[in-house]
Amino acid sequence: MPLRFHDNKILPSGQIFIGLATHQSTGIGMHVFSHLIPTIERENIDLQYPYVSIWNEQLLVSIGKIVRLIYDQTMLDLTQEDSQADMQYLLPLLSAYAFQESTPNKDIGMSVKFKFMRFVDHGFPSII
Amino acid sequence: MSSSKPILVPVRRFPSQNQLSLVPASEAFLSTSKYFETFLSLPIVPFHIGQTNFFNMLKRREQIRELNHEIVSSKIHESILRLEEIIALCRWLCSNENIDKRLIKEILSELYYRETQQSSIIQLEKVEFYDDLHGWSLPFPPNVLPSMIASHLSRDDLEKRLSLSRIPRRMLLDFYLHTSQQSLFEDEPTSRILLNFISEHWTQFHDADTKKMKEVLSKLKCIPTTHGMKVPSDSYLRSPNLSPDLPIITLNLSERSVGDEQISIEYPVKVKVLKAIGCRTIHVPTSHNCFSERSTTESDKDHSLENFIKDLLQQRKHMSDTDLHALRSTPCLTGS
Repeated sequence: MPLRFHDNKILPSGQIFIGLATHQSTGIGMHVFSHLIPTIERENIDLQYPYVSIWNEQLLVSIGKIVRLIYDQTMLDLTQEDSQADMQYLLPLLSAYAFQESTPNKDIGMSVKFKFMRFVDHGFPSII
Repeated sequence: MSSSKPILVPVRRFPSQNQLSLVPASEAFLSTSKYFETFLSLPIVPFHIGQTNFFNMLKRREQIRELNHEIVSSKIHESILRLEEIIALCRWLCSNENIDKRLIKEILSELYYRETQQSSIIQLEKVEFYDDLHGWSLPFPPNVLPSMIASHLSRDDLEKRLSLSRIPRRMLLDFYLHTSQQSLFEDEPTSRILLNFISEHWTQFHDADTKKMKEVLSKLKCIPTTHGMKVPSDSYLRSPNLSPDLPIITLNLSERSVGDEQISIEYPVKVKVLKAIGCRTIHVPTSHNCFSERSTTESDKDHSLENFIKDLLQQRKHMSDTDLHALRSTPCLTGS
């Protein structure tokens, strides 16, 4: 899990990958690899060009849903097992969902967080 | 229009729960103290994970509530705590967490707990004192924190943080002499404990206390004897001058060895205390009959009478007021 330790706190340090790593953080303790369309410099994802930005934004929303599904399943698995044994893992696990401000573009983290918080379970399979 | 699926968070619903449960964040509480989850039966996120930024984010978005002192106080008053929970509560009150004295007083104004799941509920009300009589197994007034709880806290904590004082012995005596508690004196095991308590603190009681004690105890069958529980005026301190057929007191009496060391015995009671509450040292009819039966001739009678009187004079300093009263009212000396 991509986490870092700073000032006695565990902080998420996931990055966006488009083939190779970009400079863009996800704001959560997970690396994200998907068919995101990068900028020409290939250092970040493109949220400016109109048609590309729609694709990238919808992908980010889906990523938020997936993160939420992972969170729900992780919590379910932990509470069904012997919690004494797994308490030590709860701290870093939950730290991964801290939703720090993503850098350099904070909109990326906000899109993921938005869908994480407002997940609506329609019972349909995810598009991604 | 569908609504968002609630975020489920891991909580402990009650202190003894080992397994964590999942509840919607809106129903859970974030703890601001490591102690809350040790005594509150609320869905609380364990303290050490509640400090993560994930929960800070939920708190900022008002998706989870934080436990405050008002909620804690209100929940305590409506709960029946287990023994370990009330001890944990007291530890929290004594901790360095800047707890307002008014809050402490409010919490101590009304508490309910039980020692085990099967035992009865004990109510504490406006707690002002703590019990320092370690190992005391009898009921206490409701404003006293029992030693089974107080012994887990330091004296400093009890007196400075909780503002409690040692229980005054006179107050305890008044409590046990009250009508509602007098049955404790009539049960042998508890009577031994109570008489020992009275004996140990005899010098701390004022005249008014001892007078009240005498009045109450003289009417209760509170003395264990060889013939069961008897009132003090029907109970006799063991003596070679007494018939073994009499109800002889079976309490452990305080005695001193030649080296003036206290012999260690369970719940000892001082003889002077027993005499003060009316226990007897002589049985006039038996003594009188003894001297009458031994006298066959007139000179025998005079001799026996002389011995009887000498006997009485020797025992004079050991007699209780009840003995003297019996001596005055029982005809035993016939004139010529």
